[in-house]
Amino acid sequence: MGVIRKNIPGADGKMKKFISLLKTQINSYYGISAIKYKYFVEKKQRWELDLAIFGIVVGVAVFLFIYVMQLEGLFAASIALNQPQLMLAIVLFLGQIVTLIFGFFWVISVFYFSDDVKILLPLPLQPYEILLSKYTVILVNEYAVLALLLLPAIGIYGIGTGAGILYYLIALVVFLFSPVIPLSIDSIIALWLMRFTNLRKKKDFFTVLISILALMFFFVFQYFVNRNPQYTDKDAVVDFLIKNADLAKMATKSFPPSLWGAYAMSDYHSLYGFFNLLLFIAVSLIFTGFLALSAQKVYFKALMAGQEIGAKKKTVALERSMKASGALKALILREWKLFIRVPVYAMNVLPVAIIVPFIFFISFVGNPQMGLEKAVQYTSSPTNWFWVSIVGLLVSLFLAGSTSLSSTAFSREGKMFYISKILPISPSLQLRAKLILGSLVSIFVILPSYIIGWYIFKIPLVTVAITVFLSLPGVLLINILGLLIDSARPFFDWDNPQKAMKGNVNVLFTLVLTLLSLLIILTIIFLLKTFNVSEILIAILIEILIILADLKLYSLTKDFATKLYFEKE
Amino acid sequence: MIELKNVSKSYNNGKIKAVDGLNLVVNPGEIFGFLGPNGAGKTTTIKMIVGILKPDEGEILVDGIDIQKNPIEAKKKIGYVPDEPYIYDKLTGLEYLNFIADVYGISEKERREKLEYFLEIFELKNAIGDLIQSYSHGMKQKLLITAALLHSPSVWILDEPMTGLDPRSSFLLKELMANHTKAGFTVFFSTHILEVAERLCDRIAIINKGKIVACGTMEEIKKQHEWESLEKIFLELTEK
Ligand SMILES: Nc1ncnc2c1ncn2[C@@H]1O[C@H](COP(=O)(O)OP(=O)(O)O)[C@@H](O)[C@H]1O
Ligand SMILES: [Mg+2]
Repeated sequence: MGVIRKNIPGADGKMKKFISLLKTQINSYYGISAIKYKYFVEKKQRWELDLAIFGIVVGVAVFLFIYVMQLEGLFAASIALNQPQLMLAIVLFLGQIVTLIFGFFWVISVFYFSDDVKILLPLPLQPYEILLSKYTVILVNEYAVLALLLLPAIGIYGIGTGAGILYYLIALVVFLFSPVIPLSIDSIIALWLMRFTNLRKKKDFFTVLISILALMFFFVFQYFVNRNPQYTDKDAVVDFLIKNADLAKMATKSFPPSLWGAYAMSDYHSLYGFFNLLLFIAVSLIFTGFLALSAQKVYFKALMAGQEIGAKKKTVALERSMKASGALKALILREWKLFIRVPVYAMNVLPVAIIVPFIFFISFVGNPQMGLEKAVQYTSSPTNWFWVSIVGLLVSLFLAGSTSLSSTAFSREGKMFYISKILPISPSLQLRAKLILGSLVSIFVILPSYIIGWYIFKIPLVTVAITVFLSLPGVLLINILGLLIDSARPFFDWDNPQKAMKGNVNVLFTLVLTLLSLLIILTIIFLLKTFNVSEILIAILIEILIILADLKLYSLTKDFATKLYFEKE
Repeated sequence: MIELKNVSKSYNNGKIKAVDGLNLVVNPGEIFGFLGPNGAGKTTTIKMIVGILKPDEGEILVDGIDIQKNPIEAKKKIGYVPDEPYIYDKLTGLEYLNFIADVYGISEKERREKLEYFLEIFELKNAIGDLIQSYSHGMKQKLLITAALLHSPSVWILDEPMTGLDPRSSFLLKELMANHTKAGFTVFFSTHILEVAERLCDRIAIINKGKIVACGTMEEIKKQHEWESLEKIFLELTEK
């Protein structure tokens, strides 16, 4: 099917058009207008914005603190090896690989599954214009991530070697071009894949595949990091890197642009460095050119192929599929299906259930030096039940908070929330369905860790039972907190399910509240401990306290939910 | 039966007055057409009747039950077809209908009979096992109509139901609406297509800028306006 689009003459007009297209893309992607409207025109709840910014700043600060420490070790090691550029190469490689792996899913979702595609398709725009504007939006996103990864390394290297201003200028250029090649590769692959396979049909399968790949990458990475017993120790890092220098070089060589970028920065004062810089830029531009060409050739075709969704079109035997069930069960099932069938949601939960036990596994089992035996000695002793179950409780609470199922329970209904409003079902029953599902999923996510605790850490069954006893009301608590936040300020106005979860500040708020609850529980325990209260009594007090909090907060949530179902739009 | 008493609603903290002191009675056994230009306040009114929006002022009774004081009971009486077919993409049509039947407490026998009938006339039988995301706009609308009628609501409310339906489906819908009133049930629908209203409705109301500017049978309204055509009356009444 050929689509003919007229060129609008004049390069000047073209650029203007592209910039205005880009502006609307960025605006709609980040919901800038919506935020401006909400916080500055309606002057609603400015504190939300402030708190969200605060949360992000704290998170970033913690990350940077840890990351910079690691980088310094890496830098020291590179110096020790007399190859200072190795650190730059490794960091660039890491950044580009991260872009390559995670960018792919991003590309697919922004190119093909965002709603504005339907609106843009009939406009008199060239395929490559639409695609490049979308590409630029992702690029901007990547800069945010890469700034965290690359800028500290650039700074450490620059300061460490006493580099001049030219170094920083070149580093900036390298930084700006660093995501271009991997993202272009992602985009080109995505374009051709979509052209020939109807990915929309296999979208779910595909998401799972990508997530598994990402997980595998994560595990392998973990494995290498953990191979060295005392990773935080600087000398050990040097040691590690010296032992694995060949590996590091091999890795960076497998993706030469990282090396070019690294040489461009490290040899900034020589012609060799300049040559590498040119190579880096030129290859980036070539890839972008290929992308534009591919886009022009196949983007629209792929888009239109993607519009057909697999329909089986076969008759269903009505008699067998018409089973009646109670309202509560029906509500829970609806909630579950609408959750598990959206890959972005499902993938937010399932990996947690796998990753956390796996980290345990890798950190202890993969490393005899890590002291698994000592740990088991402690955890397997029945007399240590108290701290073991408290740690179990904290882990459970944290895992329960990480699913973000409850903290998006209302938001996820989005434009379909009206359906829930017209049902002859009380808000409290709808709320109960959400709480039950959220808690069940939390338990599912926690379960593997319990099994690991029991099987590998040899925690006695009595201790496991006490942990379960403490954790159950705790799991409810975390889910209630999520529901409380999301019922108080749901976010319905999304066009892409990704935004309901990933772009929902309620998730962040709930995480903050979860951590706060952990802190409160710990504080209470330490206070009681200093007054020499017996451990049994402390456990019982904690149990009672959590149950009371459950009851109080649930009734508050019910009030918010009632308002939501009966009053707000 | 639907009664609106002095119902008002504004948006954006009172800046946009969408519905302004509305009074209206829709009798049992009546097809009532709610006419008005874009932005007149039709959707807002309907959303308040079905319990999606809360009025700022006034009272709404559905079959004598106050939708604000006793929302659950009132909602059992209502079947609602929204103007835009927003519906869960990730359920199959059948799963959605079963869900609706479950929450309205409809017996297996009854839902089977209803489904056989509606899926047949709407030609949805082959698609009902597919995810709703594969449905066309019209198919989604037909699914929503089926869902709205599963529990035989005594008040059936439709917001611009004809847009997006093919001629055959829209003909079917009109028949369904006419049949629905035979049992003494009420049908209330908004539209800006005057011919539909003229042919189908027992009574109509014309709303403009949130206020009712005419209400009655076609005869009554024409009589008041020197027997001009409905189109002319509509244009006159909704000028700017
Ligand atoms: N969610 C909303 N927020 C702000 N204004 C709204 C909203 N919904 C409707 N309006 C405004 O209320 C008025 C009535 O809208 P509506 O009831 O949708 O009219 P109709 O259905 O008759 O076309 C319009 O001026 C519209 O702009
Ligand atoms: Mg409307």
